[in-house]
Amino acid sequence: AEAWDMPMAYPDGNFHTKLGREFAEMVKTDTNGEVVITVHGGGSLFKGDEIKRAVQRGTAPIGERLISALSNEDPLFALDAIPFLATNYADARKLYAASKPALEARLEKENLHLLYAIAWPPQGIYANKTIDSAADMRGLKFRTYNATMARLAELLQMVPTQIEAAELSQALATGTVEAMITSGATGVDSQVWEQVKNFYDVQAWLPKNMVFVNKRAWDGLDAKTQEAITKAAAAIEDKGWAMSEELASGYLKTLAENGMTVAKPSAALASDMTAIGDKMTAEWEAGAGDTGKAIIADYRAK
Amino acid sequence: MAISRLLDRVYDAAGVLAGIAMIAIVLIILAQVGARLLAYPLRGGAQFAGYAMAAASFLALPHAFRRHAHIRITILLQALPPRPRLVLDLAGLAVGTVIAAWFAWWAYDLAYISWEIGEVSQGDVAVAMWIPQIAMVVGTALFAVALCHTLIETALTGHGFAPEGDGVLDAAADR
Amino acid sequence: MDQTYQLIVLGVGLLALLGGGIWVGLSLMGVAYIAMALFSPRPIGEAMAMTIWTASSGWTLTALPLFVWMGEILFRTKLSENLFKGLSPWMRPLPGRLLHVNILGCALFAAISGSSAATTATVGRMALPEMKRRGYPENMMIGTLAGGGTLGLLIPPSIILIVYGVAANVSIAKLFMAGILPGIVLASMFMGYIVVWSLLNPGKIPADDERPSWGQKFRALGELLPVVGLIAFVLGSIYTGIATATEAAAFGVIGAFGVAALSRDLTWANFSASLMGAVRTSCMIALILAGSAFLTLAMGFTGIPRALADMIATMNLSPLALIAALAVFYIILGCFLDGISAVVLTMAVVLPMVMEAGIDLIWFGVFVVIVVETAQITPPVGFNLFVLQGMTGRSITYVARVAMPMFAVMVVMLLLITAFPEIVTLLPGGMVRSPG
Ligand code: NA
Ligand code: NA
Repeated sequence: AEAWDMPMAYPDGNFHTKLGREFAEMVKTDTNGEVVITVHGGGSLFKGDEIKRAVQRGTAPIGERLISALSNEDPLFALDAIPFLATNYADARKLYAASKPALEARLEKENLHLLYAIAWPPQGIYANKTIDSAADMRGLKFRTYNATMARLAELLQMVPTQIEAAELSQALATGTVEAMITSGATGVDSQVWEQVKNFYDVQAWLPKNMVFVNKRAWDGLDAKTQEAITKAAAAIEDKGWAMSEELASGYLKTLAENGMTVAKPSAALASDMTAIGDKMTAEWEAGAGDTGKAIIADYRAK
Repeated sequence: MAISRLLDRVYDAAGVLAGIAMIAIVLIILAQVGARLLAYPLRGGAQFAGYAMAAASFLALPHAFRRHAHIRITILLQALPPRPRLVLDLAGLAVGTVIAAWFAWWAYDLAYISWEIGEVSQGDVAVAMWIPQIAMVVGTALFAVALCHTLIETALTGHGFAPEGDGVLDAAADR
Repeated sequence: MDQTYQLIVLGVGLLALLGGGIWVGLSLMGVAYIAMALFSPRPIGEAMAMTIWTASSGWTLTALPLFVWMGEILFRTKLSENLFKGLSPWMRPLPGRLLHVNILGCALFAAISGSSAATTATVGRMALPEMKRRGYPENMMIGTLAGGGTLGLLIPPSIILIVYGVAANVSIAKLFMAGILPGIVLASMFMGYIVVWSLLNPGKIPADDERPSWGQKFRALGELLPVVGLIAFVLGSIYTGIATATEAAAFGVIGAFGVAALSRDLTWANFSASLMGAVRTSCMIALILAGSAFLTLAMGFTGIPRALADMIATMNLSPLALIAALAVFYIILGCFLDGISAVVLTMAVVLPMVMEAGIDLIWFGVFVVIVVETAQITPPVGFNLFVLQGMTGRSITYVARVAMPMFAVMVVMLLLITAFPEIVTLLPGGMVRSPG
């Protein structure tokens, strides 16, 4: 029997972590105790930044990471965080399907075997200012944490501001940050209504967390066990996508219940965002080469 | 001994680099705040401040060690008569050398693997991780050397490495 | 009982390494190695290096060396002298006199710093030489400082409250509000202890014959201007949104240079001495933090903290008994791990128990912070003890012994917030559910 430690970055209450625990339970049952996974949530074993390398190198046999956090390594990992490319669950799932073979091949090269990936609820705009079009966002101090966000800030003529998660509440309260794009889940988790008034449900993108296993550890399992785990992963993936969608509306309700104005984007804002999305998709394609072009073509065809 | 003096110079030089890294943390943070006030898009501040802090911590290890800045518990050492005390001091230095050398080896391995697999940072700016990790390799290696150096020195001279009172309380008495 | 056996093996191993005079950071690494080698099948060296690298290069930690540097600069100015001149006429009627400056200084500094090591180092660097010169008893000087330094965690901003807030998914703003009043109460209790001790030990506090007039007293307040100005500068940078709590540490360094320049203490010699002093002190703390990060990882792999928390969970305790059991559990864990690691490692198991028992999570956050604050001053692994040992050159046993009364005061504080949860919940408001 194998005992696997599974580091996960998000807090124990987060639905990704809960699903991870459920997955661990399923694997234990379905493999008849052949593989027993211990989930370590909230970065209590390895921190988010460390998890991919830990699994790649076998210091942890299995783990979870936000795909777009790896954007610096390969444009492929930035795909699901391109603003306004896939803006609802159906499209996000299509994009996932279109990119999955490339993603699997990319991870395989780094000694990783992809098990499943589940989307976060869609990203919306948080701001104290009323935003009716992209012009209203000009000059706002906007939270950025990677190159894509910095580019978005540039296109919207906002002031990029880096704030680490731990300092976010305070930064919002004191005006160090005036606008950010993140999911309803994060908004509820960090109770942003204490600092921010408006949420615009622009559904900018649906980033995914992926769970992968060390290739060598995976190859060491017999075919029957592998099959059982693959089946469990597929089941948890379906459940996770449904759960994410269900939670998404719940999160928005929670934001509204706590006094935030939760609104659909105005027509002007929506069309501004679509224009920016087209531009950023084209830029991504240029950077991602033929594989990238093929994925986008496949996605558009679906 | 000439070699001992030379080594101490090397530790102090690394210590000065650590000091420069400390100044760099302040400058990076001020630049980040200033850029934000002026709406100038400056990126990677948090990341580079973190790397500078790692450099400040690791590069100072041997210098701080030789100046008795690192903490150890000396109750047992002080309770023993001179002879067994020297033996325990040497044993402590030997075990310390082994742990520090082990630490240094894996620090090297970390940076080497980072280079080999081409690991880049997941932060705001893409940085090849082996570059900031050099500070950890150099600092921990010199730390292991400093421990070994002190072990040999103590064995040769027979004078223990237990610290004399050099805290602020003693300094205050003759201020 | 498997875990109890493992815990004993590791406890003995740690005591042997520390007692044998191995440097603390290296001892922690050694025992972490033993833990992983004996109780986990995973490769050790790579995991160690990666964990230590992350722990040593994190952004929020950059505030620590900068606050230490700030203390080193201020130590070389007349600021500390001014602080004492300004406060001493006012402290005169209080038994214990200038000892109270330790607590007040820590409480003030706690409001700009998120860590207790930085608070202890900064205030200690300024206060210890001044008090020594005036002939105050050493045990009380060092003991009250060890206790006072823990206020850095309770009075916002606080790194550990942020960590807890993220783990427990409760409002960090509310947690910060909740920490204020207990911080003030705890500081008052430390001062109360100083009063009682001074009354019980007449003659230990150096005599002074001056009888300042009210005019002199108010003029003395003018001496506090640099301190107040510096704190206003740092807090101002945070609350106007110019800087985050971490960035504010850089403003602290700049402000300290400003104070030094005003009092004409800004010489090259002072600059380089303060810089290298700060480099050594923060390097010392960094090595211990590195060892501690590795030990935390090893504990995560062995699952010992989790198993112990599970053990408590299966006891089906009443809320009050649960609180008591958790207090004991965290105090024991706190002897070996630093507070933040203890919280991170156990939250997954402890939080569900606490929620099940219907205990308010904001209240529990403050409770946990006070419990793990005690970890800062309990041997063998206590950061405030290490900082003070490094600073004073006194042995850790001595420092730990003189800090014991402060530990007792903190335990009383725990009883107090359990009996009167309003101390915690008054400021943040909202639903109050006491554990009783
Ligand atoms: Na604080
Ligand atoms: Na402790």
